[in-house]
Amino acid sequence: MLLYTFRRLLQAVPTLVGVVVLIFFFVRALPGDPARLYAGTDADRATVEAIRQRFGLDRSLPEQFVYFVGGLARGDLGRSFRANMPVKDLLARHFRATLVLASIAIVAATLLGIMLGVAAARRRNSALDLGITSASVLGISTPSFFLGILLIYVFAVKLRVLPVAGSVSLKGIVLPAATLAVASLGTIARFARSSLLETIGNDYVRTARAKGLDPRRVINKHALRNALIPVVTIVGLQFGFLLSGTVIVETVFNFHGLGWLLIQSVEARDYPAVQGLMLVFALQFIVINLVVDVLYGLIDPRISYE
Amino acid sequence: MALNPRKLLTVLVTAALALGASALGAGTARLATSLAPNTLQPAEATGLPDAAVIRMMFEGLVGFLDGELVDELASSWTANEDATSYTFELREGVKFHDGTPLDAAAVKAYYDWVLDPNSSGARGRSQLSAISEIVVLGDHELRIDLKAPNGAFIYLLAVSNARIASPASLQEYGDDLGRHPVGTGPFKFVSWDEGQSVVVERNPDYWGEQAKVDRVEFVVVNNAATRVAMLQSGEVQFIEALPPQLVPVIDADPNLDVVSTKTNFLRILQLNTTKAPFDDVRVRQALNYAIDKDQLVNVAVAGLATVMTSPIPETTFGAAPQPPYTYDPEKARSLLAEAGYPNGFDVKVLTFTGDEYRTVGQVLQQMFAQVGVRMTLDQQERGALVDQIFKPVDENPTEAALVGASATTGDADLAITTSFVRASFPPASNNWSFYENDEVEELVAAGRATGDQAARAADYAKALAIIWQDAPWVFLYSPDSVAGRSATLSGVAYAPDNTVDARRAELR
Repeated sequence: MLLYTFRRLLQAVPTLVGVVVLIFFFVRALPGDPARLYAGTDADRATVEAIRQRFGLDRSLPEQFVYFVGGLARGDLGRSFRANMPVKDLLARHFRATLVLASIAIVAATLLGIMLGVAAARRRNSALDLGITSASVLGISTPSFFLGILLIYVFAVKLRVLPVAGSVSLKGIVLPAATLAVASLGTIARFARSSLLETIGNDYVRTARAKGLDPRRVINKHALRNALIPVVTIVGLQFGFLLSGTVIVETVFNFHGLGWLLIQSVEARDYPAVQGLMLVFALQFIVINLVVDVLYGLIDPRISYE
Repeated sequence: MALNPRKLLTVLVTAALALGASALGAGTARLATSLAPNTLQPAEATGLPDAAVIRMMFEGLVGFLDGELVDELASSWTANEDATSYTFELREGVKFHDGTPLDAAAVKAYYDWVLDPNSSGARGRSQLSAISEIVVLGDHELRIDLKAPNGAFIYLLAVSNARIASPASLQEYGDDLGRHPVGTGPFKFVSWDEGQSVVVERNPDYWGEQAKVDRVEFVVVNNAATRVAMLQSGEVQFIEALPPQLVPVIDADPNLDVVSTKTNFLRILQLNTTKAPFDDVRVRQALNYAIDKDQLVNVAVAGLATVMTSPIPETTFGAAPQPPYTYDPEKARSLLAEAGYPNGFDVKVLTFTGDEYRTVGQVLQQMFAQVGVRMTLDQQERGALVDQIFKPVDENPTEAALVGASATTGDADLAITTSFVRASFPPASNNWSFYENDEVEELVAAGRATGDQAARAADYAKALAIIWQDAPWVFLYSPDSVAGRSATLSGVAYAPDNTVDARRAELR
């Protein structure tokens, strides 16, 4: 398993190199001059040039690339144009916020989602099943900005029990995490239900039932474990998306995570920050995919990696 | 109901404490701003969010209060007759927040740093580029000599970029100067959470009137609907940039007020005077007659704006009202016919993304259609738009652009110079119309060459009349800055430069 993990990480290196090269040239291909945007439209040319020099944009593209790659090799992502601080520190600050928010949302969505999915599958075609299935669809299809504003109106403006502004704090995290969890919860519940129903139809489940095993034990011990594989995949994917910054929810709740940082950085053409963010996003997906693969092995001992 | 004496005592003590506290001026005023500051170093600062926070902590020799030029660190100043040399008396007993005394030597040391081409204060350097030398005449007296006569110089000294930081802080913080602001103002720096909030607290050693709140916190909230919800929930007492469509929400709440301020900002349609059909003055005038500005202002910004009466904002020194281009589609049509466009023409108008620009663009589209001008609206993200309009004349594809303009110094000199003289052709500055007129150039030069404010005003009035007649723009309106405020807060409002002035904040 360790060897496998190591090999997978090694395989990720070419992907990362590709990301680095692509993003370096891609941000520079966008129209818009970072120095002019930073200086303000009413700044004169001398100011713009002074700022261009400070940003190192007066150098040729190959020179800039060598400088960037050289920095990367030393673990230095450069200095943010906009925030005028090391990109590493900037990413760390906003990543922490997003990590906390995404983790709470995904844990809540996974636990509730599996519970609801299992409950619906066990009483297939009952009123409960119908209720859970419809609620899941509603959860998936409600736009998050609408749900967010609704929650703000009820809990912050009317009841005044929770703040409007989201933050990494006991009270501040509730509304944004709930908004994010709702959509993922619906997806996870539907996957859990359909996967469990499929498993229940298998011969070994019928055998277990036929030999008179407690029905609860049949589901929990025999069926659920096998049904969880696709659920783990979808949870991993959802978590990846949540970690890449949930721009809309972050905007509605004024939560300063990676999504917020991405918008600010792109608007300001903050090349070093955008490069750093893209690198983080690529790394996140690589790590999450790896974790999901490892989890397969833990859930289903038949899956093993050489 | 029997009153428990102990309970009564508690109530009384609490009430007394509350009263005492309010008399002392306690509490934290929380303001939601729409954008995050980049730096808190005055000479580095480039944006409005920077300027609002910088004003709390830093002062200039002179500054603005409610749009009027006032003395700040200078107790008095005089200019010589040909406006080449300005002499300042400084206030005595003023100290920076780090304890450094403010004297003539400190001012010189700081401004010399700004003017040093190697310092990070590029924006301040360009603002103060008129200076040739700063001479210390005594402990609290100094003279600023200019390279050329400049009657508008005092206004350049009053802007945010010219506010003065402790010279001792320059060495101490180096690259991180922008995160360690040390000034002389009524508030001093507490903390800055990047992208989220800046906190300042009362400076107990302030030379002037003491601040009336303990702290002011600027919270960055990008989304307007979120700002409104935070004002409603009491999380903040003031919100910036209230969009017209949310004004009724604030109006409906008895505890909240809408506060609007006239600004030195403009919304205009710039016409590229080097391209047909806009090379013909009759066409440009026709477009001015084709727009019903009152209706435009009502539809686009809920009436929270002033129709332009001069090429520069009304709030600016030197602004002179001109005879209006009264809405007259008949006249517009006949002017177009005279210019050889009886059937109108097609025009592509470049503009920013965003509700206000889109709505204005749509209104213009409909009104132009009435006189046969077929307009398409090309909304571009800021970075891309700026790239295009700053191209030099030969490469610039822009036919017309619906954009903003401003008079940051509150003086006609800069407002006219940036938009209407040759030296400001892109990429140098903002004369995106590529407008040129010899008489205007001469009048602006003459106005700058005298320290006599009445003579300056007369020169600008003449220049403005010519520009108005030549109509390089379709003159639209000057938007108000609109804010929402809780009834518990007073003393906070927008200044005409579209930044929030919270120095006199007071909580009830």
